[in-house]
Amino acid sequence: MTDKRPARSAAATTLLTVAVITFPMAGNSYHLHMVCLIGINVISATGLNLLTGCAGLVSLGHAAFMGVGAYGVAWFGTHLGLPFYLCLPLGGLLAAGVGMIAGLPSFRLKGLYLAIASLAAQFILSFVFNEWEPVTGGRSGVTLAPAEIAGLRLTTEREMYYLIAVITVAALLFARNLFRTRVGRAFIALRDRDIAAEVLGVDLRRYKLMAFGVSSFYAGVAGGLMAYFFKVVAPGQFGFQLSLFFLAAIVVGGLGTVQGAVLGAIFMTMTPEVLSWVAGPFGPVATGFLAPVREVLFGLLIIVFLIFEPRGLVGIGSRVRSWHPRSWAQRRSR
Amino acid sequence: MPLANPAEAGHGENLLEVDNLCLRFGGLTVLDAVSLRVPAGGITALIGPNGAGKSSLFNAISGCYRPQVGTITFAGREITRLPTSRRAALGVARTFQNIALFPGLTVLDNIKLGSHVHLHTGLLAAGFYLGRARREELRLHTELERDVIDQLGIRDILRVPVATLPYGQQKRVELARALAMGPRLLLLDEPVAGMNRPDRAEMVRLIRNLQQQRGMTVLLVEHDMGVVMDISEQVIVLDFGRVITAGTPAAVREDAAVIAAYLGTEAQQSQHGADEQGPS
Repeated sequence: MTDKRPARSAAATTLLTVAVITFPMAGNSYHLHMVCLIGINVISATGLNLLTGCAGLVSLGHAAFMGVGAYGVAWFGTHLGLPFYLCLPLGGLLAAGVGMIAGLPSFRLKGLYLAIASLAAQFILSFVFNEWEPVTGGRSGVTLAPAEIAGLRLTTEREMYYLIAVITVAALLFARNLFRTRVGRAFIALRDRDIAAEVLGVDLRRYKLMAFGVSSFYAGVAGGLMAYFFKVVAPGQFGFQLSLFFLAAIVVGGLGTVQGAVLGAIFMTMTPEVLSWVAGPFGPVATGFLAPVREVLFGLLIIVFLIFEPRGLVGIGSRVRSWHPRSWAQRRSR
Repeated sequence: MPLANPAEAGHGENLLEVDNLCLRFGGLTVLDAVSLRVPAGGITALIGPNGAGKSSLFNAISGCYRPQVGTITFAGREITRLPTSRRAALGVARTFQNIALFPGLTVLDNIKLGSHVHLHTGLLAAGFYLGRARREELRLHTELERDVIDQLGIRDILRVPVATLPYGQQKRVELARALAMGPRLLLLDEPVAGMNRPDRAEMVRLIRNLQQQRGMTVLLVEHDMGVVMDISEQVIVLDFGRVITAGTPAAVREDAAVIAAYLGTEAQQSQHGADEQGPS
């Protein structure tokens, strides 16, 4: 079975690649819009999952770091006139820097207390987005020019789709690779037993900062892509609700696994859509109820998953697999 | 190089020296002017009744606790205030009384964490996983298989999540992780506690091998007197945070203060008088 494995995963990779490339030809612009959003959310959720799921540092301020990336990208583009391919990584780095500063309390705080500290970061940054008008444009936000690569302006959803797809895949590969090496192991060690990790020579502060840095970089890049996608950045986009959205995504998808962030981001992005399909036939009154129902549903999902399936959709997936075909069970055993 | 032969200091020198160490938690004195010597290349046992301060001393040596007074010298270098994570790189490894494995990782990844300080892959190299990072991982794997995994007979369970393992195997994996550090000093906190007879014999054999074949210095805390008397060259007895005696197993076994500490106040009074009595 070990020799079949690479062949099978190569086949899966090829199939997935073909699907990703050909999708825009099949889908309409609504589909493309949703898939782009999913891609952006996958990147951001992956970042949060590295921090919270893997390194065990709970953050309620993830959306704020996306905001830093989004405003950063807009500012670098508009005020410094930098090209898009520089703005995006710079936006990520800016978010990483801010995230690492916001991560400093993790040297002394754990668990719930750290979560509260990150909540403070969320509200402080939200305040800055609202009030620092020369840079953020205040409540009305800022607009930015579309991304441009080699003279090609990425204005439509189809063009953005390819950009987002490439960056999403890169982000996922990077995250997966971390867990093949000492860096990913150190993250999990500091989550599971920080004292033992320290005795083994893991410098806790260094890895906590690293986790905040990487996680916020992911958030910043996702925020930057969001800015290019909507071509406007406004403070309301990056509020506490969005932070909860991502926390729910990784809990529902599966804490600490790359697939978990992907499944969770897809699930959470599609849930409101599915809800509105369901409510649609019942007329405007039913759709009017949706907005509050959605928040309640997110909360319920977190609770239900934490109680009944702490491993999230990934856990459900692996359970389903072990019920059925022998081949899967054999693969698990090695 | 990870897993290099740790035998550098020859017999006769002290690898670890603890001088006048005092550790207090608020008003509670846990270690009271503890001084001891651990000769390089030997097996030293630390014994004493419950609450004597054995694990606290381990915690002070490995850096988890900060003593208020006194010094700890390892291989000629004072490490009393050295951050915990830096001590691993010097060659201090330990296991924990209540097994401190990482339940979210497989056996192999737990063991690999032991080699953390010998690896160099940084964040970017790790994420791109090209060339150097990949080679480092592969080399680590081969080295661990050769030096640790086969010796401890845990090859069959490498991919298993540690949380699912029975107690005896968890102890073994924890020892493997400590060995992956390529340590010069191995601190073992109750290595055979809770083990059945065959597992215990196997663990004793392993510890002896480590000392004899790799020249590792071992300091262990153990309640099983059979094991202690069997493998140690020096026995140090701690009671109420003080060293009450140190010497060969035979000498310690006959020591009146030790018997008193273990058998309680009545024996102490009848053999010694009130001066030996600890706070009660």
